[in-house]
Amino acid sequence: MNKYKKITLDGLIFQNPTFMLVLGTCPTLGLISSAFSAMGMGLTVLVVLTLSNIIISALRKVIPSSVRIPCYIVIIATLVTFMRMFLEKFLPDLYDSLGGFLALIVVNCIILGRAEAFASKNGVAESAVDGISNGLGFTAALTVMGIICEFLGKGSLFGAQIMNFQIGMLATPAGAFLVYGICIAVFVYIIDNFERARRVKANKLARENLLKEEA
Amino acid sequence: MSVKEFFKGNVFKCLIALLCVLLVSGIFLTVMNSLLYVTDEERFERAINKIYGKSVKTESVQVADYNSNATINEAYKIKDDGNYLVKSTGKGGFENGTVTCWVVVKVKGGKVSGVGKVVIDSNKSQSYISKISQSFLNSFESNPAADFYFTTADGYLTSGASMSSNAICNAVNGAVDFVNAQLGNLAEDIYADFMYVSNINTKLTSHEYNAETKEVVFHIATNSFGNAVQFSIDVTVGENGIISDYTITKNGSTGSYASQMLPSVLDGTLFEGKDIDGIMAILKDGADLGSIGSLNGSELITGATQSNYLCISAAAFAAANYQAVTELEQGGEENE
Repeated sequence: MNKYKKITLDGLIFQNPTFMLVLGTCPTLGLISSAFSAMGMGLTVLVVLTLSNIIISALRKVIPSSVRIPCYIVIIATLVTFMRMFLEKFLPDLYDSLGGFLALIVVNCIILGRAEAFASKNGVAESAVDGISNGLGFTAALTVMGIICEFLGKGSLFGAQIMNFQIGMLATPAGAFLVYGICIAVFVYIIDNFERARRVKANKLARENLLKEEA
Repeated sequence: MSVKEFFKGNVFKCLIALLCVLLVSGIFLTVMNSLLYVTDEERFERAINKIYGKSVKTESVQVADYNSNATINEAYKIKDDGNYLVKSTGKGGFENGTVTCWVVVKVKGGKVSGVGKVVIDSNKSQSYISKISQSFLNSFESNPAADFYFTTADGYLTSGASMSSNAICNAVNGAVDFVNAQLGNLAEDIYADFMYVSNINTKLTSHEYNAETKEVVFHIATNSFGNAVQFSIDVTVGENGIISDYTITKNGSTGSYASQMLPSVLDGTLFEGKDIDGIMAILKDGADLGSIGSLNGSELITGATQSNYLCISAAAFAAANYQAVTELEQGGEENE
């Protein structure tokens, strides 16, 4: 399989940071009561993750191993501060809706995790693809859960009121936790079934090849 | 370790690497800050635009209070259409708290023509503020009261947050009064210099004078106080300033407090037959109704002391100002 395709599929699906690795749960539970906030947080993390992966990968041979973590933190904090300035200037509504969670991206384990596990060991292009795919995976997961929570919890979608029926609890972090658990279960079930089907197909193919060789 | 070894060692490399990263980050953020800095003017413009719904040019207006139930914090005249945007803090909320609102007051032909958008800015001690619905805030614009004077008694309230609603009504009324004063249209408050007015809504209070019997019938509307919202009370005061009839027409006690009011306050017998001295004698140790604490030691301390306080304030207002009203009316007659 193509290297970049594997990195992309891992970040989006097979190693999805939210559903498979259960990373970045703090902003996930705090923000998915609104689809707009959830998507905004996802996209902000996507930008920070991609840029930090690129910078850390480019500097991986310059930064001594013993001070790599403080350096990564400074780089990530700088990028998060830049994003805060950017959002406050150009997207003030999103800046207000993200509140304190925006500053907390600095300690988001997805970003530091990808820096340590991937960007510090791979080239710039691969790291950029890894950042984008993981960021998209995180954004997609948050947006899907945000849509579910907002629709069922507030009867609206991206702020537009759709129905009067509401399950208020689902618009709270406790409800978000419930939705998060159910989404993980469904996602893992689908991936498991997909993997099983792939294994069965591979076994069948191997058996047919073996029979052909015997014949 | 020699100096040479230190400079060739790993520690020095680590220090340099860290310092370089810090330096580059610092320079980058400094440049970005100068490019992306949001000025106070820009923040203000955004806040105004958010409230007003579109980009407008404003002109600051000197603030002053013209309503005892509200404090005006900031006021701006919208240059584009002549309307006013007023930040007003309404009193009379839950536990004597306040609600601060931005209120758009529409102006047409030099007169207040309506109330526009009402946006809650902040509040003090309002536990149920989240119950205030958008439809309630919209009702100030969509369903305006006569003379744009809003009270919870006229239905301007959100169920479950009646006291916060009262504070919002006061904030809106304060804003309207402020704009009326700016336009030179604020009606003169004839009761402004009367005694015992601190708990009386002088704007909604009126009186009838009977020249033959020399009786004055006060139609008193109180302010809200604590858990008690506005009371409407009719008090008839005869010659010599003695109360002959005291009838509560709208009880402002909320929840189950009404049943805890003193029965003689509810039927008015506590005040009937008394002049201002007799009313003040209900209080202990020469207290003067200046605060609710002046009720301490009296029979008015019940489970509904705040309601009792408003009722005795109304009685004191009527009895103490009988002379002032007769002079006012007789002066008016002579002028005629």
